[in-house]
Amino acid sequence: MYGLSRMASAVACPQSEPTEEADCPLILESVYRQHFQATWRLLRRLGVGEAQLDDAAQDVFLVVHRKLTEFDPRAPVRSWVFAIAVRVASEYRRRSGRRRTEPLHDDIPDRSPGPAQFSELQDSVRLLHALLGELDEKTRLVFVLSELEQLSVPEIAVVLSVNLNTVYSRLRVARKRFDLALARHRASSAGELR
Amino acid sequence: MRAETHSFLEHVRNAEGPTQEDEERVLRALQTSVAAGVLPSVAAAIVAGPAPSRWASLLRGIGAKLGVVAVCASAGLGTGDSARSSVGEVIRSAALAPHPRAQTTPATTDESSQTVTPEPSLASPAAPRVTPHRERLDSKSPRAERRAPTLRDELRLLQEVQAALKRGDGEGALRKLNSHHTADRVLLAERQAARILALCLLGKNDQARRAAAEFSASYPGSVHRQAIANSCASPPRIPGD
Repeated sequence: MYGLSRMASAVACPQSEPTEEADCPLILESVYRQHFQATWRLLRRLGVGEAQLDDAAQDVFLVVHRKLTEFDPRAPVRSWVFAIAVRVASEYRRRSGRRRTEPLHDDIPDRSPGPAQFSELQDSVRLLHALLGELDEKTRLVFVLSELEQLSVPEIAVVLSVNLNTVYSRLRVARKRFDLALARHRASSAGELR
Repeated sequence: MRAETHSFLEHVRNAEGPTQEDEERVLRALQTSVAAGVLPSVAAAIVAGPAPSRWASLLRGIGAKLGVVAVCASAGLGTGDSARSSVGEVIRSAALAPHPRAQTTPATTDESSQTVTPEPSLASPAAPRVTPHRERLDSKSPRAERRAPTLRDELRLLQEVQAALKRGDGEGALRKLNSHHTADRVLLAERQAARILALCLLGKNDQARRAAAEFSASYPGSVHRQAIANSCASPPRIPGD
């Protein structure tokens, strides 16, 4: 019989015994399929440029892969993956040298599948990124996680490794600032049309 | 926030996202990197994650403040995301060999000067997990017993299948695979790959090859294709080739 145990371990990872296989493809792919879309979206909204998204997303799941054996199943997988993504995004932004006040995305490609009526949606997405760029990193983080990814406050606290009061406080500030920024933009746009 | 802001957020919340092509492209790159033992290009601190006790203390603190008794991942709770979080149980048990230090991308300076720190685990056995808006399902409650198989159940099943395959018990592996069905697309691929290997164990090579052909058509990008190609299910070689 040729290496059936090694082939079998490619199907599902052994539960208790250490293996010489470097990978656990079943679990990594499952986690990837479950969380790739949300992770990609989160990286983008936290300011990772279009050209770096592939690498950043890959880095997130490479870290996931490295830490698979240590992950405690009592903690939510999504929070864990998001915690890694937040750190990766911060690292990529640091490398690209983006300052706080720079718009998050001047490189949003038009991913509209077709007709011109979708360009309004693209404009809204560009506006979203412009408004997110007006928030500092800490408030943007809680805002994106809460208002866009719809995590609960306790989940956000776990993702960011801060306490609940800190999340509540930053969220209050973030909502107020975003609200004002959007109102200013609308007023400015309305003024231009007159 | 104003109603207009809520409306705007509602409008844009799901307006952007990766395409299927993006997902497959990154997956292929990830698989290549994993196979090559490539390390993440990010700083070691990201790989290390929070301090070992940090997750546990965070979860305990959150649980205490909200006065909610945590529910383990075993509850198989209502939303798809929380049910899928039970994949963590298998993740915890999976043993990975340490990656070789050889890498194809340059390490950051942080990585090269990394101090070895204890690898973090997320929670102590007593740490509660807070799910304030979700119903607690006791594993012995009638409702829990009537619920559909969760991702956790299916992962446990796959572990049992794998154990059967490892000891050469193709019959046992097939019996377990037939014991219930899944609608989860990713786990379907895992189950079908396991079925092919079980058929090989039973000497049912023709059946295995037919199943492998279907598998390749259904899951062209699956990580299990190599394992299947190395099994009895690969097409027989023509002598002289």
